[in-house]
Amino acid sequence: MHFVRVTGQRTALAVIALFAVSLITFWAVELLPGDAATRMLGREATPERVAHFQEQMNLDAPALQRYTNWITGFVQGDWGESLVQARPPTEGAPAGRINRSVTDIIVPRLTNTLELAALALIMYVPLSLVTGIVTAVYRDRAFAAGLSTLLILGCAVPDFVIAIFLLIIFAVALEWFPALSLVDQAETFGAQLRMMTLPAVTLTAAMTGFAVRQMQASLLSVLNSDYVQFATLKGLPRRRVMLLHALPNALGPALRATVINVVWLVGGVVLVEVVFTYPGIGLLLLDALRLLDTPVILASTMILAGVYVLCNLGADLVAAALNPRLRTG
Amino acid sequence: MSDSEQKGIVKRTLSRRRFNMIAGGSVLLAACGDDGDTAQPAATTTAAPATTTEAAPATTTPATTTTIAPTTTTVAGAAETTTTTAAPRPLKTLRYGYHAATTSADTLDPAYRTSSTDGLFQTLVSEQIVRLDENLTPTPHLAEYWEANDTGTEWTFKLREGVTFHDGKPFVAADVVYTFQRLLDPDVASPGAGGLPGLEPDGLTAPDDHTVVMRLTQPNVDWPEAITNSHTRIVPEGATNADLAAQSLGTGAYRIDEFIPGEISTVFERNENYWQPGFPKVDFLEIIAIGEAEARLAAIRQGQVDVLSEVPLASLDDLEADPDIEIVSNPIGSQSVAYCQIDVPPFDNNDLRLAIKYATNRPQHSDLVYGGRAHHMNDIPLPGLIRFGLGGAREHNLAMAREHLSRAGYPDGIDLTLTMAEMQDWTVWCPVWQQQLAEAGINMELNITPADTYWGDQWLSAPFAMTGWNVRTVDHGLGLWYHSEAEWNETHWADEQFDADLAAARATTDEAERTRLYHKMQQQIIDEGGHFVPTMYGFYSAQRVGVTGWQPRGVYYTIDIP
Repeated sequence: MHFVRVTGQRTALAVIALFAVSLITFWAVELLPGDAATRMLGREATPERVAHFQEQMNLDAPALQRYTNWITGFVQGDWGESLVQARPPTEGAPAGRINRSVTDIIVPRLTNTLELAALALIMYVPLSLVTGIVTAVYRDRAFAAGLSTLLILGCAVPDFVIAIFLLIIFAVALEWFPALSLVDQAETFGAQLRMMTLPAVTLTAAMTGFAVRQMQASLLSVLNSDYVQFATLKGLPRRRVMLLHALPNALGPALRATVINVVWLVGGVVLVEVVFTYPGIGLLLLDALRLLDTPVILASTMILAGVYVLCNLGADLVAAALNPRLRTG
Repeated sequence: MSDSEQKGIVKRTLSRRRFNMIAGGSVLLAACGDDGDTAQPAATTTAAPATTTEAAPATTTPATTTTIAPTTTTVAGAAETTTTTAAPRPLKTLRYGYHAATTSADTLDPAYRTSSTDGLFQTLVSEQIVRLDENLTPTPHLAEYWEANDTGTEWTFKLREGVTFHDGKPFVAADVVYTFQRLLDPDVASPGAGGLPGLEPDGLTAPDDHTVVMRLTQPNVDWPEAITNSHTRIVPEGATNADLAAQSLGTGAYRIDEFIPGEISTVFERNENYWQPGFPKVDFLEIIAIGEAEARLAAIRQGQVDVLSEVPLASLDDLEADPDIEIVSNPIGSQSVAYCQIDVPPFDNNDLRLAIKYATNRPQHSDLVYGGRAHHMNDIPLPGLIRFGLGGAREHNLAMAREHLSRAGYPDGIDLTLTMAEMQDWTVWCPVWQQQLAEAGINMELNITPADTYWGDQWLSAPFAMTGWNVRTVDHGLGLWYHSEAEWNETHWADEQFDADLAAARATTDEAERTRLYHKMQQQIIDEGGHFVPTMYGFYSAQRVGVTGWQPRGVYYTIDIP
């Protein structure tokens, strides 16, 4: 059956893409000047100390061998250990340096990031739906034009600028929200939600503009189409025309915009986490990049790339399932 | 902060996945406002010398035969020692906002201190036998007193009794011997090994449990000062790298069971068995490391932190105007410094170096870079404010600058390239200096290189470049930067007489003679050296009104710990 074949093909492609990401990331980190040993030592990096650290971190092994070791472990679910981050010894553990496992490091941070992304999406979906409909239906009114302008602004202003503005206005001046998103220290769910609000709003603002523009355009073309004109002429109530005839057909582009948004979230979250001191995977990746902590960089990149690839794969498969032309290849 | 809020924090902290805390007490002065202490005026430091015998903890052994007071507590500490032992009392937490982000390479192992956050954490959990006070004078700490032979080659330290490590083991001489031998061990590869000139592993002995003898291969009358470098915090005998990196295993006032490097917030718990009565003053010390400047400011203004370790210069005026916030400062801070290698043309000509020094307008530099708050310096990273410091500041003199430039062979001016990176305050520091030099015909181009690799790739190899130094003691600084064999001799200063003077200053107990020698060496660097130091910016911290009992410290890597 065609559909099964398409699914198989796309999945295989996704796996190959992820493999390529790991390969490129690893060698890009290799190409950067220095390594975890020199970055960790900084000013104290004499050749002897660097050599000693490299030996402890197993960085003296050839790059290819290190990559092979890593990928072998990775596919078996062993994501290795951080090169730099130490952990307390456990009973009976051997002497020598012991480091935290990448899984231990990443899971809590990833959880925080997913919570943030989820909150942003929860705000984003109804907001962009309603705004999209309102601005399309009332396109001749002044407030809709104003709303559209605002949305274009939201698209145009970089997200870190939005973030800093929100921080200055709502955290510093009005003191409605905390400046530091220390979600791990939040005592109640309410407190945690307050800490997540400003970062989530930043992400939502950046995403909504884009989605609404997409939806507006497709709604407008649908509203001008023959079958909607006909439904209106037939005397159907406006709301019924809108919700039953126009909207379902306009949702396709909006869904595609959402996929693009989710993919964008993967990168946008890094900046927003930095501004709001939010302990997520973005802040972790930044720190790992500064220290060239390859196992953490690789794992974070694979997760972010995985989201990207999965979203696209999902979108492809859904599209294939819905569209007979694509479905038959 | 209310009782329930604090308990909440404790509960939350313990319940949530990444926190585990232990207790500890502060060596330095910590207190949080709300315990009914009257608010002390926030001390603008350098005031009283910290050695007050009244404030000395009741020691178990009487100090004998020494000119040095048994121990020190700082000004604020002396004033409030009453609040500790009352039975049920509200738990106190001090939330300390730190001005740099933590990294996942942070460690509690003193042998591997490389970052300022390492320095901060290690100051809380572990201690030295000798520490530097506010004026950078060595002061007894885990040692009660010391004696030297006449030549300064053999040092005997009498150690404090009744001190225990966080795991309950008593602190004894063997721990001191082990700590220093570990630093010197090539297999440990500690950056601290270089700071102990003349000490060999077999030069350390422990005649009894509370006495340590250090025999040096070369005389050093200021040996106690030499061992205050930031790596010499005492660890228990036999402790391995794995034991020390991520759990507290010192004698410090605070403790932590599982230290997770790179966290934004790290909670330390009071050490119930801490030896200094009255310390630590809080039950929990939460260090919140905030990399982003905007967030840092918002946090102190909102009260999400009680103290902010370092206030960005641009925000100082705003915070001073805030009625809920007080600024606490210490003039001894950090210096951005330009260096040139004096054996590399054109810098091998001292007239060029002097032209640059005369063209430097120190008051203007302070005004434009630091809002007029910086201390004027004299082209050596050692201020006059510290023991043996010479100080002074060369007058801005464009005529002299041009004359020296002509004498150097550049009557029509010269083109130079200064290597820098966009880090610290260099992005303002360098352009201001560039403008000043241009007035004398010294046209300096700025070569901006990547910040991540600056210390590895540019520093020490670029002939004319930026560097930065915290204030060291005079002897430490001279040895670190100008001894002909020093690892960090960035200016390539190599002078046999200078090395001999340094050795002589380390070999005489005559204070006047030492002062003369140290001043002579500093004057030589000021007149001929390859450092350009226009200004030193102090430490400016902020605290919420009502917080008392701590102050920023100018001491290298122990700054500012509550």
